[in-house]
Amino acid sequence: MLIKEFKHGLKKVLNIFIVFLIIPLIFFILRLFPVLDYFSLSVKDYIDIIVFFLWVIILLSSILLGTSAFESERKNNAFEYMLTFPVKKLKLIFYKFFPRLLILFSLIIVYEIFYHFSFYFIKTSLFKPLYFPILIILLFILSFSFSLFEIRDTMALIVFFTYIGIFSLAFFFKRHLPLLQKLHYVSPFFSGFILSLFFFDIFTILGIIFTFLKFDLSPVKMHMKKFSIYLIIPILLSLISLFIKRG
Amino acid sequence: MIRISNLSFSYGKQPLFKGFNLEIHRNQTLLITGINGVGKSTLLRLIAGVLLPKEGEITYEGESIYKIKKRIGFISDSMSLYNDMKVSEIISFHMNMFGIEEFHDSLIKHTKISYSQTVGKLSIGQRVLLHLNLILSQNPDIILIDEVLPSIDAYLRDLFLNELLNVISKREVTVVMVNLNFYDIENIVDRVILLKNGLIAVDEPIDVLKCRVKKLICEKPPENLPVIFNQRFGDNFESFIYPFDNEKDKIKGELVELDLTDIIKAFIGGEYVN
Repeated sequence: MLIKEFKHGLKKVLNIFIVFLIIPLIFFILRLFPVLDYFSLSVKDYIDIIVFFLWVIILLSSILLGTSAFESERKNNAFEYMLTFPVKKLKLIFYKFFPRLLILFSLIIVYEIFYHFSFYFIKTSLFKPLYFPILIILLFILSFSFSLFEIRDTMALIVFFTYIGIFSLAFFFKRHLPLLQKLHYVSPFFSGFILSLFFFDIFTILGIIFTFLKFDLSPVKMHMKKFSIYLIIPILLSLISLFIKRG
Repeated sequence: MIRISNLSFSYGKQPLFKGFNLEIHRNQTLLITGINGVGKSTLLRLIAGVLLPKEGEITYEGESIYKIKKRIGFISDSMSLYNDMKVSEIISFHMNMFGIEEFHDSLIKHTKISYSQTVGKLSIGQRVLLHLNLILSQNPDIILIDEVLPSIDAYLRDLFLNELLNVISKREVTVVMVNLNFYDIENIVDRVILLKNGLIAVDEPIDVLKCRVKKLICEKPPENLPVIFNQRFGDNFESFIYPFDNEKDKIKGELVELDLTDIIKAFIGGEYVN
């Protein structure tokens, strides 16, 4: 099953690669024909372009890999067959989760290598080697959790915008409400951002596990209801922790 | 023995089963029947462990069924298999998941199924036979078969039932079937239960049931007998009596023996009319 899931995940990522790597490829082809190369890009520029496109590809891959975890069961009407397997449900999660995580890690490593050789283009926090993998893994876990439910594509969008929404909202309040600015945290190790990611991740994983342990062929909305209850805690905790500053 | 104790289950707020109890003996072939929506397939799915009960437990020989899934073979009416896999792939996948060492193509070799075909391209009948072949290779102790027989052609149905009979005669297997076409399975079934409002309305061995359900053709429905269903037949009435305890003195009309199909039809008809 691990191999089957690995193949499935790889197929998904390759689709995104094919779509998005066309643009750097065009730049590369243009470089081969100096007459057409209006941009006159240097090798440094190419590396930065590749880093940027890898960022986009990996970001999308994390969502797509997560949300498509149970795609073959849904598409093939094989949920019922899968639930007859004599394996514990935790193991089933592992079979689905691990190969996809492995693909994602490999992509992140490629990104980190290119980032290391990049020059000046991308130096904001969302591209940095520390934050980017956290963002990616978090998005993947969130997307994975929603893959159990039927409305996969809608969920993928909701995941993305919830994620962006939560943090933008928190930053907005943080900036405009003076009272909240006074909130400080004493730990010298964690900033609120890292803590919020940590809370979000841990509780979402727990939410997925609890939901999946009780997952059966009952209507999906029943499971969504349960999962949304589990998700309230991480959202609240991560919102609160965003206001915490390093001590 | 499969023991279902104090089972409760609902899809929404309306409970389908509440405090449901049932015991199915080892080596028994049980037929579950009842009107549409009464919970026949749900009960089968609960036994298969693909649905989780709200309360209660289901055990086999004292062990929870969730621990012995390897010994359960379930063919669902939703034809649930990975349709994008090739036949050879699904066989090795199934063997891998269920820890099967050897696969005998005892059924699919008769069905024009090619190993390179994708499962989705097979006909419904071929898919059912493939699924039965897969679960039989597990050497299951429990075989659960949902309403799949009517959707397959006569040749494949014969093949299916002959193989099932063959397995039942060779090994100690408990078979639970949900079926609305009773003609084919009359020789296989040992016991029949009829579900009504989440409870068991009738539970009889098939031979007893045949003795206790009779059809009476008469001018007007009898008032002194337990009639489960009446229907007009020309100028006369056909009254189906259950339980019939050889009360010959109360009979005014012609008494007719029934086969399983007519018996179940009478019970189900009675459910709709009464």
